[in-house]
Amino acid sequence: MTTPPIDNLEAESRSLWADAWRELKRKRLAMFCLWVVLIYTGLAAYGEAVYRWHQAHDRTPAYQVPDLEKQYLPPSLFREMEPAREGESRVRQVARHLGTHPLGTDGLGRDVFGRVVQGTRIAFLVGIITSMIAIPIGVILGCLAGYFGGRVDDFIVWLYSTFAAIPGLLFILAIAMVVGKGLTGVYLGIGLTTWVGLCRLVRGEVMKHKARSYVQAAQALGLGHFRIIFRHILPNIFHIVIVTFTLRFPSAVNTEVIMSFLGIGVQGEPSWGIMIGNARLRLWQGVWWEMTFATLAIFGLVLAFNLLGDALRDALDPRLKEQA
Amino acid sequence: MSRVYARYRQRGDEEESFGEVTEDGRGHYGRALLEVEDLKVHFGSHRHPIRAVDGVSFTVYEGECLGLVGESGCGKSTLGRAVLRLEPATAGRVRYGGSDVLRIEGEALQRYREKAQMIFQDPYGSLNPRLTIGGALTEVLTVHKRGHRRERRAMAEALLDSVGLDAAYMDRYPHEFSGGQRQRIGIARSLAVNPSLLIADEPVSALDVSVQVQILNLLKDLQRQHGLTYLFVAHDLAVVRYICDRILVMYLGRIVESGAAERLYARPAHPYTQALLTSVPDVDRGLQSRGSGRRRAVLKGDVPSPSVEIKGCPFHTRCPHATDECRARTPSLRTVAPGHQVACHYAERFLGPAEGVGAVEALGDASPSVG
Repeated sequence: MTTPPIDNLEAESRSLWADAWRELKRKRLAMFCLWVVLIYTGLAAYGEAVYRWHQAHDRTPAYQVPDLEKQYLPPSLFREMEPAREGESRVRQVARHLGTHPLGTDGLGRDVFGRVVQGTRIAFLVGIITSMIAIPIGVILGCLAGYFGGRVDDFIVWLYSTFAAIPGLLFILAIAMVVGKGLTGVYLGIGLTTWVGLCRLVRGEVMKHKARSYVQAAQALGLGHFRIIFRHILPNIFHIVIVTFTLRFPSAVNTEVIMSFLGIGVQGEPSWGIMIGNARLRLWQGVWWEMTFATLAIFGLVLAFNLLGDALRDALDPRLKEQA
Repeated sequence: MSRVYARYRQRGDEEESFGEVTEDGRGHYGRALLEVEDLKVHFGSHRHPIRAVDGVSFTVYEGECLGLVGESGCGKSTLGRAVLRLEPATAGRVRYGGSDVLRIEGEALQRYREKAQMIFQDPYGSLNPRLTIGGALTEVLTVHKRGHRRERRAMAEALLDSVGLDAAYMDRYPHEFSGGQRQRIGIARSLAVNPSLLIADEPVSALDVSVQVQILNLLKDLQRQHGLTYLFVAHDLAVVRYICDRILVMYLGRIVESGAAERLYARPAHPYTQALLTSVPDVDRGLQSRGSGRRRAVLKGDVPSPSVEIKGCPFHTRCPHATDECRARTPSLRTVAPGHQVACHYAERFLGPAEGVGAVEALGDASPSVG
């Protein structure tokens, strides 16, 4: 038997995921956005730690305590240093100074930086938890509809068409009203309404892949339906899930901001929406910093996620790979 | 190209006696392995069906390589896929090992899948790009409960070795291999379940000519080693001639002629088979006729749509010899010589003079005496 020379193989084996990562690393803008997203993630984690610490010690966090003496302090990194407290070392004094209101304070004298960090934490909670609700629904229903077709497909298409026919924000409001105002309402409201687009995408891709001969081969080899769907088809369309996640994350955050701004979102915690809602009252009098930093935080997050999502779509696009 | 194959054909004949076919057309083949009876595969609605396969019956004997040829769109791939239950059949029976495989489910279907496997046309598309070669092979072994968990990797390596690939490439992904190598991997995957019947759906048509010969030789070697039976679907007549013992010619979802490969090439009795054979261009003589006495029959028009039911012989719209009889009555497949069946009212006329005369001539340069 003739064994053809195998000379086209590189020294190291690479999966398609590794290829995509290499592709992504070459793009400077994408890597910059990835760093921005990582910094936001770090801020959110820091916010969560602060929140947990205060809960555990049953204390009100500083960003919640009104201090009317410090109303409307403008942002400054070089504020006059407060005098050292009794028994306080010089190092602690400087540390305390650095931690005081670099982004100014709001109308109740609360630290804007601390509140922006908490807003980041809320934004990540919303982005992640709504994704954990919407993405599994969209992926599973999309896979079932695309793979089995027939009645199953008819039912799922009917279901998501019905969902898509209801105006989004109204539906979110209705769900929020049923489960009560607060984060739970935000999670469920956004999570249960935003799976439709992903479901459509996944259904179409699964139908396309079902006709491909690697799926036919799997069927001929007697592999089970669920093994074919989740081990063969899903890894091949998973890039859609990743891209959808990065693109829906900022839109979920935006929806949360709108809900909080309208007063049916987060209750009693500083979300970006609540900050913007509060800040608009004093904007006329030149108190620009609370509005500006909350808006900038949203802007940076949305921009970074969107640019990263676009770059990911390019890097993960299987059409470019198949030609090679 | 045919010259290249002719040389390989000669070599193959020296090596093995598989090509020999006795007068009854069955040669020394064993019992019937797969019996297809009046199989129909229709697509679309009941009122306007597209008859991809329209009443096909044939038998695959153990140990043979049965070729299935025809133009694209004649239903040959659909037929192969229906036999493997990849396409639901509309009517008919497919007997394998005493049961009708079109009506089995569950465990019995799984057993059938271990017996009958497929080799796919497209070596680029038939492997999952996200699975390593080793992963793909061990998965099949796992699903069919072959070997112990720790043995499976060694079994997969043995499979790769049997198709001429280095076991060191177990952890590679499909996109790191060439087309011919991927086709070898596909063959190894089909062999993982120890099948008896392999349905090869144009297994070499997507490959370079030089690689085609390698894969065909591999298939021949594997047939000898494992006692495999092939149903070889192809449109390349040179390839079919090189590997097949018996040939079925399909046109518009029906079999129009069947017989031993050598006989069919030497004495085609159906006008469609004649046209197919003379349409193969010859490198040495250009598009001239291949046999001395036979003119090149160029078919006019296209294959009619399989959604329109044709009255009479399905080939009459393009047949240069069609008569009123052909337009009125559908010819059935009938035996004109031992092991040679033709669906044509005038088969005897087209069969030409008695045995021997002109047969070698019609073989053209593929005949050893000429080549």
